[in-house]
Amino acid sequence: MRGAKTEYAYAVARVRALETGLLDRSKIERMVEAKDADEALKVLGETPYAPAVGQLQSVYEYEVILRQEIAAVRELFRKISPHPELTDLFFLRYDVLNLKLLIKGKLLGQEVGEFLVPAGTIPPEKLAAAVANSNWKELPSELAAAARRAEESLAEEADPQLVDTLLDRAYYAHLTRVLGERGEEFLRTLVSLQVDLTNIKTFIRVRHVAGGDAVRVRELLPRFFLPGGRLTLDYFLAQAEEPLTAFADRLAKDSIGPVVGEGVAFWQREKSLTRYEKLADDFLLAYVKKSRLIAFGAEPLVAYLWAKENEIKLIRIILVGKINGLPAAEIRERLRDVYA
Amino acid sequence: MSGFAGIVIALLGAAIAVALPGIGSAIGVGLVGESASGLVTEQPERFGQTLLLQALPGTQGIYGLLSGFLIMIRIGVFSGQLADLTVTQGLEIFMAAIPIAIVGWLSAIAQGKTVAAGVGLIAKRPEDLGKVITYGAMVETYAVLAFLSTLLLVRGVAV
Amino acid sequence: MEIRVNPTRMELNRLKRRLAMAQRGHKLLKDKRDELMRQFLVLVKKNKELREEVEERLAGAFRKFMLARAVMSAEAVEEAIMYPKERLEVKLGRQNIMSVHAPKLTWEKVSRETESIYPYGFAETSAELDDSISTLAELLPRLLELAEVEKAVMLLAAEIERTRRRVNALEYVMIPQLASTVRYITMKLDENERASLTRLMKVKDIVRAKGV
Repeated sequence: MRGAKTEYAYAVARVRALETGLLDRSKIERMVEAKDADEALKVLGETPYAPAVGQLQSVYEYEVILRQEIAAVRELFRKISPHPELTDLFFLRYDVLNLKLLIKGKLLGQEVGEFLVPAGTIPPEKLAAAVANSNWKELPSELAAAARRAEESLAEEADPQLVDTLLDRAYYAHLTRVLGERGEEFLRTLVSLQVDLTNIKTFIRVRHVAGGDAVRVRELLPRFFLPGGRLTLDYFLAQAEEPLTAFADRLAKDSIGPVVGEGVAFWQREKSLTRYEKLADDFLLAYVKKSRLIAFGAEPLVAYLWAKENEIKLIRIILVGKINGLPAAEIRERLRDVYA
Repeated sequence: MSGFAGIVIALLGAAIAVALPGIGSAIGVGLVGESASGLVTEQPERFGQTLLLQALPGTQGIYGLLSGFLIMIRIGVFSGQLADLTVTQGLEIFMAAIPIAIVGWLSAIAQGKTVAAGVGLIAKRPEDLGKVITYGAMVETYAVLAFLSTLLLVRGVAV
Repeated sequence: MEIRVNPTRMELNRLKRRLAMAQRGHKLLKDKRDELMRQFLVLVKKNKELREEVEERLAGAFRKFMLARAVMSAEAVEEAIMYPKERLEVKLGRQNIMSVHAPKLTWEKVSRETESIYPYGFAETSAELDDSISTLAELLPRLLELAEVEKAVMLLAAEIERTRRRVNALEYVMIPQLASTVRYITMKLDENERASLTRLMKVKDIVRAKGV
């Protein structure tokens, strides 16, 4: 317990108490078994989501609840965390999403206000004004530079992909740098695992797009590659020609080995990354669960946010599935583990 | 002159025997208090359980106080007639105070952390209160041992 | 049902010419109708195949999109696809099927040649979205083709209907009318001839009786 961050005592205990309100397996299972979306929503109404569910006019508005949930978690952390700027790093993701929406919207002359998520560190209206004036001062340095470049390049090249890739890269660079500087080893590792898993997924997707052309893989991958992982770009580029199974075998001994092995096997059978995405999410959740061993620090807070995001993903999968009449088996195939 | 130095050193011993465990206990109790209020914010019905836990790191302070009293009795603070101690005797009493001072101080903090972490545990499973108390008691052992050795040492010093 | 005409020889000749013309026209229109029908059936078959293919694949794409939607938030999906990467310029031309002017669609990408069709980054998007987008991208030419064929089928159907009506008009109205009028005039003329013959014979009889 290096330098025990006992200033987190209150926040951690509070979050631990809140964790008991997370949906457990049996609630999720009941939602999956529900015969339609309304019934699934009714099950959700028996959980701590009850007040929000009560306000809904119809099941189709479920996104509203989910958006508010994350914003509420951020509000809570701002109040209870002794270092809210640290937990804010993980909410910055929503700023990045808003930023992408706003930059694309600006160049298309399209109003995106209704899609902005209020869970970021900068209020959506303020961010919208900043984007309108191309004023990037509020943003962390990496993101500011990326936003400027994204806007410029989108204006001349009209490649919307650049906006996403530039901002995603900048976000992870920022996250990795700040967590490194603050010596948050647990969170730094969490991010690097997340980046590795994303990069592997990108590698598979890029190989699919390139259709087995290694030269194109080498050309494309650097555009999408995220910084901050343990596996370097060169590591991937060196294996552009090799079959994916060889790539997976090489990682077999790593902690992410089982995820990659099974995910790649499923991909080769079904040409679908569904399984990989599920396994990757579960793997990260399992890692996050280890924060239970940490008595004081930002880790349990980030873990709670992670658990909440995971739960929201679960609810969304079930409700979208139910609304569209997806069979329970197919919903289950995509369901992530639960944190509780 | 030599008697004066002796008594000062002995009093210093009594002072640290009370002060250091007291500080430790305050930190420990405070820490558990913070955790407890985090839990009680969400689950107010847990107040009783957490109060019990909060008291655990408080014992070191009591051991320190008892040790201090014992030393004071030995050197005649209460009888109104301060014993005439040599420097060696003063140092002996000072040394006798060291175990409870240092162990009491640090173990109270360690116990505070243990129990504060335990608050997180009972947040999920209230029935585990006994386990958390047991974990805290394990730390308590060393405070008790230190208190015991201070007791024996103080008694052993010939005044 | 005959046309009111003066039963003169001149009129008869005129009507006979019209009848012959109507009959020739009828035959030609009938041929045209048959050929239109043949073309129509070919197109309808093609249309059916295309439509079934497009519908099946569209349903697949929508399904995949729904699945992507299930694992991504509404905002993230909107962000990913709000800014289209490829622009397609569709030109409207004409093609002539049996003198029916059906539209002919030609299209070309105006956006520069890019490495991938996906308008989004890979970090925050689910791979399930890729499938959906790529299916839709593959499907676009088929959709345009379907639009073209379907319009041609509609235009052809209208043309067939019109031709059929003309054939029927000729067959059941025009030709019988003309034929009956011709018959009427012929009969009238014959009648007139017989009448004047009778008159002549009668006059001859009177003249003969007076001359006695």
